[in-house]
Amino acid sequence: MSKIIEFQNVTKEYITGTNVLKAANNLNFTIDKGEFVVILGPSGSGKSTLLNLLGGLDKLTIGKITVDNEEISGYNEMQLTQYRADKVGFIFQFYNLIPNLTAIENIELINDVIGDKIDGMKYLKQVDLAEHAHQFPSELSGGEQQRVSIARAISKRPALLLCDEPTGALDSKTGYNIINILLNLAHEHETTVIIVTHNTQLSYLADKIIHLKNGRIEDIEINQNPLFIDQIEW
Amino acid sequence: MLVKKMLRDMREHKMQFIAIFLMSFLTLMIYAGVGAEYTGIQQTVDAFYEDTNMADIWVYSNNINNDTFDKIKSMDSTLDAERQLVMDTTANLESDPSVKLHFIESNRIAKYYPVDANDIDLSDKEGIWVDKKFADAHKLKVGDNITLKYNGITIEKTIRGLGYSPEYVYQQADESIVPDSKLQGFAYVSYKAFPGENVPYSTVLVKTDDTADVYQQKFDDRVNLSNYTVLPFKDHSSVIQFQSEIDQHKMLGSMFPVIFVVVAILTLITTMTRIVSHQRTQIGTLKALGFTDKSLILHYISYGFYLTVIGSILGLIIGVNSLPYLFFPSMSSFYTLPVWKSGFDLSFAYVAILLIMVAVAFTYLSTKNIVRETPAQALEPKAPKVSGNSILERTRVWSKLGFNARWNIRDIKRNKIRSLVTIVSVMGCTILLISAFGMSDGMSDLKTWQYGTINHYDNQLIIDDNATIAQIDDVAAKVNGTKVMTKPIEVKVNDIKKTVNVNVYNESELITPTDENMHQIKLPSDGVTLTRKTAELLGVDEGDSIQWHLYGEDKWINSTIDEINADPSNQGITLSQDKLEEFGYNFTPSMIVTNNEVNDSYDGISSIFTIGQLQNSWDDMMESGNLLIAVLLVFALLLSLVMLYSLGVLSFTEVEIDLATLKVIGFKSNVIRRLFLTQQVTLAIVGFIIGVPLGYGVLRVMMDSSGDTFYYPVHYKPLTIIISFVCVIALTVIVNLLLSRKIKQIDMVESLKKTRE
Repeated sequence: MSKIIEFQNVTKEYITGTNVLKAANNLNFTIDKGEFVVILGPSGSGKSTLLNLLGGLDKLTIGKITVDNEEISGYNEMQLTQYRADKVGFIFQFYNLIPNLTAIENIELINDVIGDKIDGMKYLKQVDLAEHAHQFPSELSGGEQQRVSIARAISKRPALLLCDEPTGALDSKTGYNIINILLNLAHEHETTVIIVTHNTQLSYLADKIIHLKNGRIEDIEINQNPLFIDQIEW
Repeated sequence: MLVKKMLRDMREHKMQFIAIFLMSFLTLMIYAGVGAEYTGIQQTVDAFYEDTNMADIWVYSNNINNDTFDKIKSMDSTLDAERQLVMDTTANLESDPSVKLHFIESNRIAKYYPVDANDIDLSDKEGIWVDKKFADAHKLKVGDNITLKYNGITIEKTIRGLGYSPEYVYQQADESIVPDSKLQGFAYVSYKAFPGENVPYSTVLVKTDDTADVYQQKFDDRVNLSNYTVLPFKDHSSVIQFQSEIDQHKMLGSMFPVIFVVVAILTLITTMTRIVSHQRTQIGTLKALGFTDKSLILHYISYGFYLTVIGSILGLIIGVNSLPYLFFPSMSSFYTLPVWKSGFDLSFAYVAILLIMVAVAFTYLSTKNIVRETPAQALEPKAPKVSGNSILERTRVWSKLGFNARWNIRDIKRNKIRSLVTIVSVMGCTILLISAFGMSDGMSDLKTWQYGTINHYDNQLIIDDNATIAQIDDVAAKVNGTKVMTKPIEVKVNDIKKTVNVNVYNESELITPTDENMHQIKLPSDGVTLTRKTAELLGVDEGDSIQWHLYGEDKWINSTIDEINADPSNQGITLSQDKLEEFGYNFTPSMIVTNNEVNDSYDGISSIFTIGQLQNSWDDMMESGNLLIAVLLVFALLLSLVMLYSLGVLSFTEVEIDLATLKVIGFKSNVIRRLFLTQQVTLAIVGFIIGVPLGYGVLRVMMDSSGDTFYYPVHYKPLTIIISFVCVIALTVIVNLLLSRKIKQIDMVESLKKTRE
């Protein structure tokens, strides 16, 4: 498999007053195309920082991040915006849908970014939400909102799908459905899916597990035989 | 899709957006509406003077023969000149109205303005061209005959046309205090209609580029005339009267709307800034999705842009086309212009552009601030500021304060900007209300001052110009009255010259002068008293000296100001008869005032006015001013309502999560409501207290710039302050109570899941 992401000596510092906080400390790893990666770690271990750096939402202090042979850590604001628009799909813990756009409109919003004409309904069907297309986020359950958010993320066919605690606010049954969708994307559509979580169960499903603690990589596990989702107790 | 988002945002937060719309709408409506009134009138009258080739200078003399007239015409500085004989005739009609009859040689300067039928035909010996308003009042039509009498001469002519004249925009008969078309009018006939050989011309109308002073000097050198008066355009009685009316409107109508604009801009800034900052996480999300900074900035700018554009344009159009027409009925009963129409000034558009630019600029800045952060930061709620314990919090008093006080002190301290904005907006409302109510107080004060405090007589007997001293003394004795002389004078201090009145009367109980505080004072019997208004205009005070002379007399008199008095409408100097005679002038009374009953058969008296008539005419005169103030007051209240409402909504949305948290902890709804209300009312009171002196300051500035004639007192009336206070606090309380009713409905789980925006 081909390498799509490479982190080389990546460090991110936050300076608050006289304190320097190393949210990411000398990170080195690679991720292959179509891999399903889980990043595990307790609160404050630097999981979200890693994801933000990868998604171009934040800038690193030292190091080099390469995505698809492009050094995104050297990008300027404009290039980063373009990178997010072209390559990255985000899924957040609190869904981050635009509250006053309906489900389908939240997806077709992407048209304004990529200047394309995607069909929102097609992606809603993919997440099994066609009948809720014209409802507002507030009229949907958490799981449904997260599925809209996934539909929005995949509608632009991103190379990377970055998920920050995608099941964090959901009950286990709904969470199961969401993970199932994400697995399918990785295995059948060759989308690289990276999930940040502190739910250790997900590690059984992943191709690669990165353990973070205090901003450092503790361990990188390669799972030769990931389980199927229905093999796990939820 | 972003457009959809915007429209839905607007619908969801419709009150805030309606407030933005209304603020720009109301501001432009009042600014342009009031401005359009006086600009329209000014433009119309200027065009009228232009069209009719209004004279620049009038020269009055007893007999302007051909020789003199030729000399005037041949002067370098005379561009054009025209002779007329103007006679005060009496028409043979109901109530014996007086008609100023002009015999004219030509019709080039201060031309007759035909409205009905023909223009003047100088070869027509039998025709007469009559004042249209006068004709209408007496139901005269073209083709009717009219008979005019003058010193036993009777002139009967046929009306050939009806029209207006630039010299009679304002006219008023001696028999009345205010214009009354039944009692006065004017008419033009050809010089050929004069019943005699040579017309004894009395007036020359001159077009010149020189000022009156320069012209008079050249006139002295060139034309040998012993007794004459030169009157410049700006001192012509009709011109003066109308211009001072326009100036009064300008004074009230330009200062006040400026406060509107300032206050509206302040509120616009805070509203737009806060609407954007409430969208913080959404901006972060959109950025994460790959929207460019530019498209996001444009998106948020359009929020304020469309509303302020539509609001301002609508306000401008509606204001210009509605408000002026409220004033025209009362204006047109006083003054005569060919048309009454509203005007347009570029400043209206500038104000609209200013409002739009401010909305755009501040939305730009606040959006820019958020998009400049990395999307990772923008997705997170803004970190609260760290605030140390203040001195207060370390004292013992702090621990004794109740929870309400502590919570609010901390909250205000932590949200300095929000608290400051509340205070400043309430301050703005207070300034609007205090100055609007204060103006209305000023107007009513003026009347009670004039007719309650200073003048106590029941009747005013106007002395005929031809009355003898014996006749005057006789009448004064009969009615036990006080003789009063009021004549225009010119005063001068250094280079400042002003036209005011000299008032001469001996101490009397019928007229009691006052100081600025409307307290009666005794004037020195052997001294000169100057009114405060004139003293301020000339920059002098008690003990300084001034120079003055009666119009028609060349000798300047030096006087020391012995006392300062104040008068609402009669500015100038006051002295006793002896003092006047000491200066070498004759005492020539113009009226007798009395408390006795009077009949109308005194010799030497031309007309009699009762105090009731005087008060009515005062009301007539103040009608358009009062109307203007009423309009401004209504708009001040409306704008305050909109501002306080939008302020309340914004403050509430900001504290909603805190309040929900308190509710979750177990606070009762009414305790929480009180918490919120305490803060809002406290801030409103602070804003009000700061706003009151500022409001009076603004009022003072407005009153001081109110022209040379009227002196508006500014008094701190408890009632005005109380009414303004009630308006501000009641609105704050009502708006916040309505909002905090929502606290009961807060879904605790939902609101806690919501992140701070």
